[in-house]
Amino acid sequence: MTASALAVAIPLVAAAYGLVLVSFVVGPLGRVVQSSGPPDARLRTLDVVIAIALVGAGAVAWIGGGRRRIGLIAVIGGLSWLALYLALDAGSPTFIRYIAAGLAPLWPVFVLHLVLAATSHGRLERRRWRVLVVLYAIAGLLGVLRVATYDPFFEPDCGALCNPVPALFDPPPGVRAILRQGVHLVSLVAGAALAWWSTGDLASRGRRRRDAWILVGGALGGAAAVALAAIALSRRPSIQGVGEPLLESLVVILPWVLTGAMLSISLGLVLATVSILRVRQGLRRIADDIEAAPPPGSLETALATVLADPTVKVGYWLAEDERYVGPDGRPYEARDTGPDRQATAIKRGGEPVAIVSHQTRLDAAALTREIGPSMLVALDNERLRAASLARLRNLQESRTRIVEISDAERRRVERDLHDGAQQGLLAVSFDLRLARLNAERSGDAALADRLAAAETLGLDAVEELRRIAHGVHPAVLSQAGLTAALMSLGDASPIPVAVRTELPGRAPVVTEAAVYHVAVEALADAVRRGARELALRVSGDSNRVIIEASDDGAVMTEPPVRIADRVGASGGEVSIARGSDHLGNVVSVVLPCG
Amino acid sequence: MIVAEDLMLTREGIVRLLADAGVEVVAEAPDADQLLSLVSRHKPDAVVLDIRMPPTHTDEGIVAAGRIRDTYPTVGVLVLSQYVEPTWAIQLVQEHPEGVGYLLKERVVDAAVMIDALRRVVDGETVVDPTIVARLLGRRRRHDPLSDLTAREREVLALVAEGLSNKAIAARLVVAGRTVEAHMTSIFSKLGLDESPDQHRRVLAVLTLLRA
Repeated sequence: MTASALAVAIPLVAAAYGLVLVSFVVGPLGRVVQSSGPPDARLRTLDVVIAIALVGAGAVAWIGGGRRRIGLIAVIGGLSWLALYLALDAGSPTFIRYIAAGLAPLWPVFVLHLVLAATSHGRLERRRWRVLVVLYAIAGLLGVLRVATYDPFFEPDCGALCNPVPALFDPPPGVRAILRQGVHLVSLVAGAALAWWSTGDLASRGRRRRDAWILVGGALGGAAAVALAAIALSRRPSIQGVGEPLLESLVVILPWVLTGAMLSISLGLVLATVSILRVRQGLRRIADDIEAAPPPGSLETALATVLADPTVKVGYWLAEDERYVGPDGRPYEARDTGPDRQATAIKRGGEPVAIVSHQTRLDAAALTREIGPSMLVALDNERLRAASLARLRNLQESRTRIVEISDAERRRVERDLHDGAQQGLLAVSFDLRLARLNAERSGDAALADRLAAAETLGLDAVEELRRIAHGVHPAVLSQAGLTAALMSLGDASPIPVAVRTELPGRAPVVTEAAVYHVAVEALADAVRRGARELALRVSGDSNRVIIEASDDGAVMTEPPVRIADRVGASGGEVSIARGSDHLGNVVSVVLPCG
Repeated sequence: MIVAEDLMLTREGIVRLLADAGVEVVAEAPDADQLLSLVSRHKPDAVVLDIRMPPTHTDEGIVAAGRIRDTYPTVGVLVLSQYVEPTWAIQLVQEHPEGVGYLLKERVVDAAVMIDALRRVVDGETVVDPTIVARLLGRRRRHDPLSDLTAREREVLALVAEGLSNKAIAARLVVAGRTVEAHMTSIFSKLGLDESPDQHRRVLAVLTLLRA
């Protein structure tokens, strides 16, 4: 903060000092301002204030913020403000006075250029650029012609410039008046464009906050320029004491309005420079912090802070997948839609590194410019980490898919066994029994015995198939839910299993299957460790399910690997703890739902 | 009676075995909807139906059993299942304590068992497959109330869970009715159950106790 304040203050002081130096040590300007210009000392002070403000803001932008073009325009604009004094100074060379006189009314064109350039952040809009170029061309042509044909004799309000100097050439009669009016007309058009565009931009949402000072100044300055040019165009020999109160009060008010407008523009320029300096400094600080290995996503947070835009999103380029991912490896969701958002791609050696989505009011060009080599390294580091995380996510997702597909397969196999194989075997057994009854009735005892044996085989196979099907997937789980399935697990368990389920309703199929398999593995593991008792507690809400399996077997040192595998595949977490009661081994599992 | 079963082969087997055992099968249905309309038309003594039927192949049989019992209280319902799953047996008995039965499908081959079960559901009694009762009795418990029972008492308890009346138990064990009543008093006090005056409710009470 101190550093950026200094960076602004030093050029400002330097510029003011330079101007004072020019005024008093070198002489002419100070003398010029004191000896010529309007008789009203207050107006002179205002003009000097405007010139110092514009030149100062230009210097700050140029030297402090590295915005050369805008700085140059502001400096020229500031200096042109004093052109009138030069023109009216009898001590200056005549030719220079003529040029100054030609340029003096054209200040609205400079101000228009300055405001447009300072608020465009990047390339100037094509239509505005065209208007500006045309205005410059006409102004230049008029200025040259006017200087070449200047003859005080024909100037109604020549003031100190009335000492006769021969014109370079004499135009046909009436042309001088047209040229004079033309210059004012150019000012009028420039002022109108300035007021129109500034007001429009001020009303549009994206630019308002950041460029408010400049745009307000532009609107006011444009309006003042229009008024001044209109007065000049309708000028009579002298406007003082003509008894037109409106005109008189305008003549009193306009210089103040103009001063306010120019000060506002200057302030806006300085503020913009300060914000650029702050961004630059912040980026440098981030780059410095990078060596401390920040957690993933911290670059995004840091950028959001530095750019004062909490909506900043950073996407990192995955060259192999040709897509962007967020800092956590999730797919980058382009949020650069809408009129007030834009995305700036950041490249290194022509290759994309990252994309930054931010609000439009942020200067995209400045952002790319200020991201220096060390920041690029930092971004590249985070890109590598994001790439690893994205790969991990891919793996996790495919792992989950594999388990889910296998679960679905199990359900299908169970259905096929019950509805197909088992039913077929039952039908065969029924037929065998009927055949056996017939054999018995017809007295064929030997056949009846063989059929009875076959029937027993068939029914044994039915029983075996039932056992296999239940092992593949318990039908009761999909049909009656977790509580029933866990109770059923307890029915056939070699040790007592206490089941407590506290779920608000049925969990998704995938989660129920995961919980059931965790319970099966927990029971198997407890039995393996010689437990005499197992307690299963299932609780949760619509977002997650928590399973606690407590047993009194030998102490375990890490979660059973089959539980860990199954839980990991479902994106859950498993941990072990020591229980407070006699069931000291506690495996805790948290599974996400859906 | 009416047989409902979606697979034709199995259904035919069941029908022929029942017919062979002397049961008159008046109609056959491939799903629950047809079964219900056939029941309303024929008003049979009993219905034998598969637990798993179209369209979802989950518990259509149990639902249909409930609807038949609600609408036609005189029709006994025997649910045939391929699952040794106490949950469904308990659910069935819980919702309709009278005139229902849950048997494993393979029992169909045993004419004596089928006739006995049909007769009992028609009489309004309850039938629970012995395999299911055995599974429940074999369930490990932390504080097993069954450990206080004598071997004979456990035997009696199993028959109670299967839905047998005192008279039927006496006949099955070839003992006097008074002996069974004495056993019953002892069992129910040891298990902490009310000696239920209602024979149907005691089946559910015992099943629930065994599942806990």
